[in-house]
Amino acid sequence: MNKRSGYIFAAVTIIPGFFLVALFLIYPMLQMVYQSFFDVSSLLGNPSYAGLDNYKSLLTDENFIIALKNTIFLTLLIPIAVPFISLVLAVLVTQTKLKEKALYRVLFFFPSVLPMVSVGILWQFIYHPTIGIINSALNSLGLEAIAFAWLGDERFAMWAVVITMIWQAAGYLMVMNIAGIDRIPLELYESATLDGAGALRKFTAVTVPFLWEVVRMTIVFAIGIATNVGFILTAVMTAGGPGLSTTVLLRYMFTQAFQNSNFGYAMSIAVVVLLISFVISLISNRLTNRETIEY
Amino acid sequence: MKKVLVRMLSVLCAGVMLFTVIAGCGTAKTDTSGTTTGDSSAAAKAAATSAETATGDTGKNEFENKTLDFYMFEGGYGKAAEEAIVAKFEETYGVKVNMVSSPKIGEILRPKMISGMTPDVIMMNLNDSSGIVQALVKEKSILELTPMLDEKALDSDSTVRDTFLSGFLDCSFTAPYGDGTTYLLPLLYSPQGLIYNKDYFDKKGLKAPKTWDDFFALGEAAKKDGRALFTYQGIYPSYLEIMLYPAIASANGIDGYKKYVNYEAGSFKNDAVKQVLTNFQDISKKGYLLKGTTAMNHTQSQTAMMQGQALFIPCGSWMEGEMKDAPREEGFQFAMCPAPTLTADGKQYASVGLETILIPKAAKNPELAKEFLKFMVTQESQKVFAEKASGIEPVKGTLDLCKSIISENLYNFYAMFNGDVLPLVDSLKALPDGCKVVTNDEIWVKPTSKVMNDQMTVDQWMEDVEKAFAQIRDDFAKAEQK
Repeated sequence: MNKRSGYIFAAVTIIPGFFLVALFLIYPMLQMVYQSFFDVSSLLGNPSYAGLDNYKSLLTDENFIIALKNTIFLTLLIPIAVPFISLVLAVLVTQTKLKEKALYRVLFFFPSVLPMVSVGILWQFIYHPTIGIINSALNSLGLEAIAFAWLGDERFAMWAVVITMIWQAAGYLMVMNIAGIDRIPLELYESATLDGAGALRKFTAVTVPFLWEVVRMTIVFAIGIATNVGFILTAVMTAGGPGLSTTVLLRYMFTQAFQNSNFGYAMSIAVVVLLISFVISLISNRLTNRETIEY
Repeated sequence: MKKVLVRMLSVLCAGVMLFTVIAGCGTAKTDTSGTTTGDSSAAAKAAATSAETATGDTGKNEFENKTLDFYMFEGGYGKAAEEAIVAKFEETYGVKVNMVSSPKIGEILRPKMISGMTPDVIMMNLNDSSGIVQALVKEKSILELTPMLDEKALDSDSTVRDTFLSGFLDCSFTAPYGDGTTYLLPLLYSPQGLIYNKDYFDKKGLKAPKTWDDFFALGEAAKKDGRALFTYQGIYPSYLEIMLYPAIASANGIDGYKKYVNYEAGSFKNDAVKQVLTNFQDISKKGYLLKGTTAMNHTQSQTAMMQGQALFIPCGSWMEGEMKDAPREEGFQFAMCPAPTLTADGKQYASVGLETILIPKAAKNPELAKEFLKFMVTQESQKVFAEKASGIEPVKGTLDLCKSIISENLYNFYAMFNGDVLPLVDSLKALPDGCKVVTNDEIWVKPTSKVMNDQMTVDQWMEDVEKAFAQIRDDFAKAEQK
């Protein structure tokens, strides 16, 4: 194959993918930003230019502020908790001498192959106030006093969702970490052992530094999980309630768009979500940016 | 030559890939017709003749060979009844109906309407979340039905208007601009109220409550039997509309309730509403609420009720079908009663759900569309709806006409209207353009669980809703200035 037909081949294979990304990702995103400057509140009428009005309204909209706080809470907590837990799990199933390692790999990964809505419904029953496994256990231990209606109480609902999100997402990121750990040369661990390093020291001095690029990637993944999965699970498990305690920005965007037909305003909320994800990705990139160790 | 061939092939491949992508965006069409293909003209002529004889009107073949685009929301009623009626309509009039049905019909309609391909007839449930009907109402893009309603019905001597039960054609659902002019035809209605287990009530010698006092007395009886009085669909608190709106209409009078659906000042903060809401909070305060209710979704709470953990749950007649696979206590039998009243002589109301059908102003065949609407409410169509969809039209005499067709549970539900119970069909008026108040959040989602967990007072609840209403009134004023 000569050089030119190589280019043609490359072009032919890339163009469909590029076209799909452009059509379903880039174009809608540009449209979203564009429409957020318009008062698009009707289906058929002409949108009128609104300048920054939509964004100004956001500042005085107390429901938006609540949803914003909830979203920031998730986008800060999840990208720390999930990558950390997935890393620990990855180390546990690769470097310990547990007999059931293979089984745990499957078990931890299993939630990732379940449809998200099923995960929500499953956990809704786990948290069920009367027949749920948690409250049944508490009741049988004589702890009726703390057998709360987990998803129906503003104090606990968000945390209950967070636990579900960790359970759902950690296994997937664990597999990424396992792939990374498998690439770390065994000699490094051997020499660390010879130098008298214990398990913890090996984790901090060998595993984490050599895995750093993968960890950074899992953090970015987790930011996406915080916004998207958070929306799906709260929709299924709590419908944004009780009160607005689990309402995230994407849910509020959906409500403004499809209940109130405020499409322009909803787009401005979407832009805020985009900005939050972008800024937090940037921050995490800065914070985790250290020299990569190549091997 | 070979090079050219390779190049052509690769372009072709890319083209095919692009095409598949684009084709994937299209929508599936259910074409229920088929009668007009083949030797269509002969069939159409024969059909047109039968239309003349069927309706006793000689002008019907003006529609011959025309096409009607009919888009319908496919919800709990399915689409079998509509398919049967469409087939009959095609046969009778010699026309072709393109029927498209989907549970997500709003998403199919939206791009079509934006690009100017407006259907002739749209059938929607007004609770549809796509916002299509709401948008059409906002833009005043629906055809007024007054002339059609004043014409004679297809199978009787009275006008179409007179065949309907009172209250249905001029409610805020069907006459959305508050002037009594009908724009949407109410096609099917489903009663909503407090659902209870008739078998249990009969066995224990209990009677459905009329007043709040009766209601709480039942709570004591239930307590002795280890049951709660009441539960609701905790994480979807707007189900409480089914109970509290009729209770407010009863306590405050229908005019007071109409002020509420129009967001008038003081319509939610007054003594009558306060009494109703206080009674509602008492359900929890006096220990009559099923434990954990605020955390339950609709299936969980409805199952709990059917298993005998609570006596009542607010729901609609759809619950029978929705819960057909759910476990229940032995002998369970559905029955429904309206919301309690404050006084023994108070009027009783019950909410109804509506499936409505409308003709957009931009319809290409408005005359044929009107004929189709009239065809939908003939006695024959009523029977088809009852038989194939367990659907009941808000038309006089239909319940007796269909008694042998529908199930006993369903008859029990609709029988609630046989006494002095009035239908409550008004719902909150469509919000003005650009209004950002999410009424469901302000009225239900934000306060309900707090009120039931005794973390919020009824006064605060009323105050917050009034504040939201004030904002909505401001937005109405602003929209009018534009």
